[in-house]
Amino acid sequence: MRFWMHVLTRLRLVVWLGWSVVGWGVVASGAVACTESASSVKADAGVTATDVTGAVDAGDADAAAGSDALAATDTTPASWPLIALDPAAKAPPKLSMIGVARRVNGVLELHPDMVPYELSVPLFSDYAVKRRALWLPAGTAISYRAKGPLDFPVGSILIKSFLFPEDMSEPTKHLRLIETRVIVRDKTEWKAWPYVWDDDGQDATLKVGGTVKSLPFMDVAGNKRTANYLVPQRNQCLDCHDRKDSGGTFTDIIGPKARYLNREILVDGEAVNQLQRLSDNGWLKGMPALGLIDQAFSAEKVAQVGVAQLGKAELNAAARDYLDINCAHCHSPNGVEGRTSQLYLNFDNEDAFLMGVCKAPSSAGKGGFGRSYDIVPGQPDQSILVYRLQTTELGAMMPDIGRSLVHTEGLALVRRWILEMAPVKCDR
Amino acid sequence: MILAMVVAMALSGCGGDDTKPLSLDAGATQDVSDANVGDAGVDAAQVDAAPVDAAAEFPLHSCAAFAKPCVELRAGDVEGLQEATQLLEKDTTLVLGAGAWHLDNQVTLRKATGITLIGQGIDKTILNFKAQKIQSNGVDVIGDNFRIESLTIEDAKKDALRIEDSKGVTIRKVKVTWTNGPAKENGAYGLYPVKCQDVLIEDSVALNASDAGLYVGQTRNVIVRNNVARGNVAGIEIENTQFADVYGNLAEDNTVGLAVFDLPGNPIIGRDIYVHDNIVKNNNRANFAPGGTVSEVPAGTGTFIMASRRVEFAKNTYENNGTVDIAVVSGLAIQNKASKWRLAKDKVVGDSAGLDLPNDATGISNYRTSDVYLHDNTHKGSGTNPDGNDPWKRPLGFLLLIVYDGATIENVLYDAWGESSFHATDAGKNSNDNRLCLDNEAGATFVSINLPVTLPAAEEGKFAKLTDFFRPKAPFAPFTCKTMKGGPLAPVVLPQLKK
Repeated sequence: MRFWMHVLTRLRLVVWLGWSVVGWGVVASGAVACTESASSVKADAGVTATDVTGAVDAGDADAAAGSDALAATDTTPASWPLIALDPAAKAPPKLSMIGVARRVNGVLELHPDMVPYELSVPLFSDYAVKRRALWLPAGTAISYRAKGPLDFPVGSILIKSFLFPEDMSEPTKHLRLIETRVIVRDKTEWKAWPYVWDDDGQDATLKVGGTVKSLPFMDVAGNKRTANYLVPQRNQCLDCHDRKDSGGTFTDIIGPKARYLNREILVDGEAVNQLQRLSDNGWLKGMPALGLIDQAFSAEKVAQVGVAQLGKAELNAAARDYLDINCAHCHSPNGVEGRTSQLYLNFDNEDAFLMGVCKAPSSAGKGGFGRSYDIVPGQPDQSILVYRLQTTELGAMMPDIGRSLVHTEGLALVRRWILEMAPVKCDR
Repeated sequence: MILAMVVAMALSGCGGDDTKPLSLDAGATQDVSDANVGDAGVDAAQVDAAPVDAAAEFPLHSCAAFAKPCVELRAGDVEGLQEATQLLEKDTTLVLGAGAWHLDNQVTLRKATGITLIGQGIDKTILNFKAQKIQSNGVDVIGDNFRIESLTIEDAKKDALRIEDSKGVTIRKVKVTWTNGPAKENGAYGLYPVKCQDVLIEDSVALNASDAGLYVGQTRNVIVRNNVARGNVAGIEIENTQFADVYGNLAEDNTVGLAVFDLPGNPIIGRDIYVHDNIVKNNNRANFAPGGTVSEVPAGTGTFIMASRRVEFAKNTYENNGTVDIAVVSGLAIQNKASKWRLAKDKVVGDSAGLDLPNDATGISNYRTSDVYLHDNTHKGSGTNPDGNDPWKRPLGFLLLIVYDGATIENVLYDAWGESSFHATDAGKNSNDNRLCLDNEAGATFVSINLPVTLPAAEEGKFAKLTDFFRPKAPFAPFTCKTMKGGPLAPVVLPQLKK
């Protein structure tokens, strides 16, 4: 076993040296082929909307995120291998063995064959900046689905990197790269492998047992605070990603649904629809005309317009989509654990009672905070749902995984949504 | 092998072109990850530090007594435990050494069947979650044929042992507790199997939970025997559960000792609950629940049976429960909108055939309490100190305090909700539509309080008088039946007890 580690260490070294070691002739010829591929993906590297830069600042105090970091991508030979994974096999112990992303001079670079993507409504994870990208095996494409996650071919890889700002008043700068999660499509379900970046920043190590990272930061008011970021255990991943239906329980992805991918992104400075781009490039098949595709109410629009300025219909759409992406992985009829509560926050649940209106919880414990109902229309301060978002007490807060801070903006949205509901007297 | 890997890496680096990417050779990956992942922590635990003194660290259980795969983990090897609980092989036994384990994260088991988690005995192997930073439960399990035994779980933020959606669950000699005593800051549930099937809980101890110490919910086929529940808001709760045998337990010093009920909106309709040979005494602890249904139960309640059916209580010992020994009430007493209790027929889980429940073409409602059979229970010293401390939150306790005004409350209280006729003095003018049966209740007293009338009146400040209640002498006609609709309860058979 030690021998294998030695081999792997050498291999990794080779990867970082740009395949220049004499004697690896087979490798060199592979690299030539890749050079062509690299030039052909330069356009991709130009994707620069907030979330999809091919590379980002990951810690160096003066390195700016965005275009500066992107230039690094263009000047660095983009010729390292990306390894197709056998999803049925065990996870490689190091991220570098997959090649989906690397870190050079404090800059996270996606492999040029990775396609960055963005969601219109992201899950809140302690204000982490997330970089998402996908990769498809050659000759395959995603199949469109109107409902639920898009149907990815076996062998697809999604990656999500979590970067944490040091100062919340500059949330896209001075980012600390903590984790890159690799999610691989197997025959019947997805597998998720958490890689935690090593202290020296050179590579990331598989950590199936998870870890808790204490991350000091400055909040917007200038106070020093600490987030307890959880790199989830493999089993904790399933808390959110396991879905149950009549066919059994399977591990699924949450964000990449048509309604959350249906948004504009910038490619070479030009705004294009993300789904359309996926389709035009042959990465997505079976997509109907854009006008027929549901579109979630984007978090960016909420931020631009301001919660207080949203019209009634907009407010409802924005709040339902926020709850959908942040809660419905459990709180839906397919959520293994959320079903216990019978509280369904999926955006397409049309039953107000099961959405929480005048619904007494079955087992909220101290999460109930002495309040009687999940949602009391017109009364956010009487609604358990609001308390669960505004507390950080373990055993009371929701979601119960993935955050240790309050999402102030999300809380404001949900508060106003409940405030604007037509008042109902819930008590018997 | 090396060459094969390198070729694979080089070629697939061009993914997206016309080259079909190759998968990493599975064998190679296997070798590599065996060295680094999964059992790494275990290796470390076994290699590190002093040699294991098996007699001292694994005195009660060790891998010698279990089939492979089996892993021994030394006390305090938290990282080893957290690694070992991931990617478990089927039928793995994890043996935990004697000593204290301080965890900052939940212990989570998923996607593995036949897992056994076994320690060196109650208060010998202690999993303590006081320092928990992330997620809320102590040990949190989804997986069929799970067994947990011989250990203590302390100070979890929410539920000490939560087992969900699993078939074949054995909890044996497990103690769950919050070490600072009963307090509203404590976690909600102690032992918490929910949405499970074939559950055995025995010889276990549940202390100081701010909701229920020993809870079984939305579950089918259950035996709960020879356990102790103390210092909880609810000692033992059987909720939305079908086919349970509950015996030999002690429920003492809780707010409410032992309760059987359904909540509205849950898809399993509770039925066929046999509760016998338990001791339910001194359950007078001031209600310290931070919320939830149990926060509405008056202290001093030995048992309440609510929104359930085919429930038999026999040969239990009731003693010194300040409000009442056994209250039999309709679900409408806590939620009077019948529509909230309606379940679409296609959503109902489990066996609800033959139950006499309000229903229509597409829905079924489970607020009704019917076919409750009480016999051969003994009662002593209860009903002298009703909890009227919170009229708004616990109106029933307040109503009893005012109406009885120092007089002793009867041992068995019936709300008469859903009865077609009620009369305070003429037994013949009381219906028994819900088929409540009292038989050979040695020394018991009984009252029917017509709650659908007396509760709303009390909420408007108009309190009934004691003479408004129906207080018959034994044998308590018309509540003298000895059978349940649908016949006697069948014994609960658990596959894990068949061997």
